[in-house]
Amino acid sequence: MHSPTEGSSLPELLTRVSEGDQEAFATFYDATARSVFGIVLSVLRDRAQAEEVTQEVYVEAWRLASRFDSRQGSPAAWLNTIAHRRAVDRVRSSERSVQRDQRHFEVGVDSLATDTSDLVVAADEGQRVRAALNRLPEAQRTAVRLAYFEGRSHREVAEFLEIPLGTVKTRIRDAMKRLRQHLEEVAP
Amino acid sequence: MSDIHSWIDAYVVWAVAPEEAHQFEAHLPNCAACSAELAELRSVTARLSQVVATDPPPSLRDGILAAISATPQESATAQGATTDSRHLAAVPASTEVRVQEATPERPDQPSRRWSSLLIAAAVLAAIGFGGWALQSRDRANDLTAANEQVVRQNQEFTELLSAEDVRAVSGRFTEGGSGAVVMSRSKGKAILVASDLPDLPADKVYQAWTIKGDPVPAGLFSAADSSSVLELPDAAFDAKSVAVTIEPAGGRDRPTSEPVFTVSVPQR
Repeated sequence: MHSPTEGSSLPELLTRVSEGDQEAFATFYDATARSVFGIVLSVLRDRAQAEEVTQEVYVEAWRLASRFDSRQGSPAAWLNTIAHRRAVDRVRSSERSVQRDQRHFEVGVDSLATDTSDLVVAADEGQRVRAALNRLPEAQRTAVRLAYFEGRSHREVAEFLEIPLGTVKTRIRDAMKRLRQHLEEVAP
Repeated sequence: MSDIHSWIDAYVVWAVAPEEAHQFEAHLPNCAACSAELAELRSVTARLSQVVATDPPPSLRDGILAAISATPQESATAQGATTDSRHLAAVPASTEVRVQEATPERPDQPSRRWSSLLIAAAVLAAIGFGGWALQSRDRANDLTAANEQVVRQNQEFTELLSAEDVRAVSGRFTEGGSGAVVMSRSKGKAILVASDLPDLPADKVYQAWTIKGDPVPAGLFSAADSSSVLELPDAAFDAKSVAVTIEPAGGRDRPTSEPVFTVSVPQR
């Protein structure tokens, strides 16, 4: 009925998903789930909630696969954007966000580099990206951690670091610029 | 405030406030430079996520594949959305953020409700609840007392699923089987549905608990041919989680064993 999905590229898979191909969707899931679950868990810090949100992300990807537009980025980037937004939106709408904040504060902002307790680090690509992150100046790395990996708004980052909002924006902007450069140097 | 182009980095890490996201999304279709840059930045954030890549539990894969098999897909065209939000989602992500503002009457309420409904339906599909519904419809042809009850249950269920504030979450039983909690405060109804549960010895029973601090007994049930449905007490609406343990027949005031099922109740 269908051609095999093994070995297909993500754009090919996503095209087939948009045509209702569930087998292609399963392969698409297998190729992307570690990254999606990882970022959702990083933001939510709660496995049960991370599983719920990951399910929402994939149901949304399934529903909206036909809206994917390759001119606006890769399938991985598209899916990651949905995942990150959904995780952040969940945490911001959660009554428990206060508790989460306290826990994050206790853990400390360097936790990403040193305490990976239940986060399994991706072997190759993960290490390359981590190296790029570690080359950032400490202040920029911290801003990226708080904003991206912990899903804080720039206002929250400003309050937490006790620095002006404008400085937070500048740090995130500079960090993204440098990360882009560093990652281009080590493009997979 | 600085010029809108410079918001792009905060936007791509989703650190912007909802109104800022809307402004930026309104700007995007008119700015080729920002659109191109956004695509590049998103490949950076996608790669950042590799740093925290984590294996999800295998049960999640099963649940997701079951959920999508029951979820209709949307066509490529959508009306009234900005290019970026259309590309990403029919329900703009910032809609979700508004939930915390506790303003129930919003123009976007129908789409939010649609999204909740889909999730609830998907959650139930994930545990095989659809099979139960079909089965009971067939049986409804001969109106025995038992079947009338099933039909009524189904009607109540449809009503619950169509509530604007429906919340749903599913999970697996450690001993086999799966379950979902579906609730709507406006309908005053919270239920636990469990499918494919192993039968228990005659002197044991499944006991549900609502948890917010100490576990509070929330009802007893047994494995059914297809799905067991338990109506939960009102305490479920404010519970942090719902759990199930296996207890001696008649149930207990407090759990005497480890839970075989636990789900966090989505907060509203």
